[in-house]
Amino acid sequence: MLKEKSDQYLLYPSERVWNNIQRELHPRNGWINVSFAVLLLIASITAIWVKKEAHDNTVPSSKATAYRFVELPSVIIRSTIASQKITAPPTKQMDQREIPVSPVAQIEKSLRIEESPIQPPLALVAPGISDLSVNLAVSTPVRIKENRTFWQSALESVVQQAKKIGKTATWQVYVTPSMGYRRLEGEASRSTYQYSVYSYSTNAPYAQNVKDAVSHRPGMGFEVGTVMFYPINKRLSLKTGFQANYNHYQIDAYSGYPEMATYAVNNTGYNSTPINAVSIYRNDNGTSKVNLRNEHYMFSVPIGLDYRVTGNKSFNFSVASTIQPTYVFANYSYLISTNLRNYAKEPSLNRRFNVNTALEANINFTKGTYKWSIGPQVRYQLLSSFKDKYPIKENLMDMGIRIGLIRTIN
Amino acid sequence: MTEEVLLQGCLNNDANAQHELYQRYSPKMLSVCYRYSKSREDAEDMLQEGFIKVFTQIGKFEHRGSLEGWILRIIVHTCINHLKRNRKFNEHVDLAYAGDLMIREDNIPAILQAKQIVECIRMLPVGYRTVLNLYAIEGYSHKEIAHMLEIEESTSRSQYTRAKGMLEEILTKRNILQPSKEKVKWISGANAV
Repeated sequence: MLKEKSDQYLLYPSERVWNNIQRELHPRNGWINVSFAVLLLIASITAIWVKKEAHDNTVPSSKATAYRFVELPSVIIRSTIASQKITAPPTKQMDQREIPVSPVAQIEKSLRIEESPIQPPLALVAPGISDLSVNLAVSTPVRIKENRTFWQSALESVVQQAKKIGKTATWQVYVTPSMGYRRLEGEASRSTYQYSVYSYSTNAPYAQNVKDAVSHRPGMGFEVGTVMFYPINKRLSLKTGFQANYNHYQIDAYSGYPEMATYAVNNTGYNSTPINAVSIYRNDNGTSKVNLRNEHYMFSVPIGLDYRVTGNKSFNFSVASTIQPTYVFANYSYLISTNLRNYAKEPSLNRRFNVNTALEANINFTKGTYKWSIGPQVRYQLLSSFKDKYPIKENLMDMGIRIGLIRTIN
Repeated sequence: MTEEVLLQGCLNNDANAQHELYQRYSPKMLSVCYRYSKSREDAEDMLQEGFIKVFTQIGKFEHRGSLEGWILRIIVHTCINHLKRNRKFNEHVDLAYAGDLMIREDNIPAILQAKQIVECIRMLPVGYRTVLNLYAIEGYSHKEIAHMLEIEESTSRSQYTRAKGMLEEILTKRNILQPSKEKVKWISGANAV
């Protein structure tokens, strides 16, 4: 009876449990990890490099990080005890903003006030007295403490470094005509959703895998943008900039009568509600054939590394990789329903922020006053175009020829 | 989806099949974990660990018994391993704290009664409730329990006897069990000690 009663008791786990299991069993696309690792590497190299440069510039010697050495003119004082012609002014009259570190320096300073500061090392000799002389000072460097902190010095150094980089940085504008396509992943859902008063099963009678069910073709797209190259060393440059992309591909579909199509489920468990849309396009068996265009407009910030493999300044071959945080500002996409039967737009499932990565190989050459760059480029969208609740995953890809014009900034 | 299709899908690491299997068995398995754990969060952690083992080792299922039984064994072993980290199976605890009584309702629905019983089991000290769960509910022998928990067989027996007494007392105090006749009947489902 104890067993019987225990077995009657059921508990429903929270969504977190399944999400964790899913994450463990199906780790996210490795590209994401690789891209973030590259980004981290770039950030680390840059940070180390900037820090090293800052350190080199702010520490001129092994000691006294915040002191500036000032060489005062040498002063030789010949004086006698009996003579009162040379009198040092009282210490309290000294300029307190400068802090001499030795009595010798104090005397030097006071003498400098009385005498012309531009005179060379000076011998002051009291008339009639020459034997008893005191050589008081010789070129003693005097440390004058500056009010700047280490961080101010470091910042100044970084600014100086940036100016130095600016002299060697290059600027590129580019355009990339490309063919846009997509990678699809997912299966027909077998869940039964309830909408209206009817029970609706999404069992797909035909193809189960979306790759088998969908007929789609590449479409022309383009990319236009600008990047700055900051040389890290002779071969490696950090590149970052701003670009806009247009991607599109085409889907073969059929027009049909309006139907309800299910796209996702809000929540899971007993309280789940389907996300439905009215569809007038069918994946097959419609009245007439139509071409649907899925279009995407996006802005990206490419950040990456460019490595010169071989060649010299006027002609070389380089490879580059970037990771591109992306904002999709317009997505005109038809989504296939979870039973793989219908197409409709469901904007609520579009993902706005995404991450792309790009690989490129370029031949760079100088022609006249301009430097040109040309080569193939592959761009891949790391996250699905749609939110996680939509079971079909789509990753956009573009393959194109990148044509760039490079200028050095001076 | 039939169990065969489910199994095949899971063998192919298909996410849909895995989700279906999880949805089918997770409520029962979570209640099992809950009986062994001290909190709901712990139970969910055990469940998560257990199901990851289920999916990664599903190729080892040999169709000798039911799939549910196989999953249950993995879940129970996961719970035991989880508890072993605390090593409290040799404790003997007096029942001093089981005094909080719930108000008795007439005609308590069966499911509510089941919940109360599970909650009462969970009131037992960890060593007692583990042995009670394994012996009276999961059906393991004292020899097996001794091996699983790395304790003496005699310890398992004594833990069970004490657990049984303690549970009877809690159930009686909560008015789920009648003091006289039902006392024997509640535990009669379990094997004799």
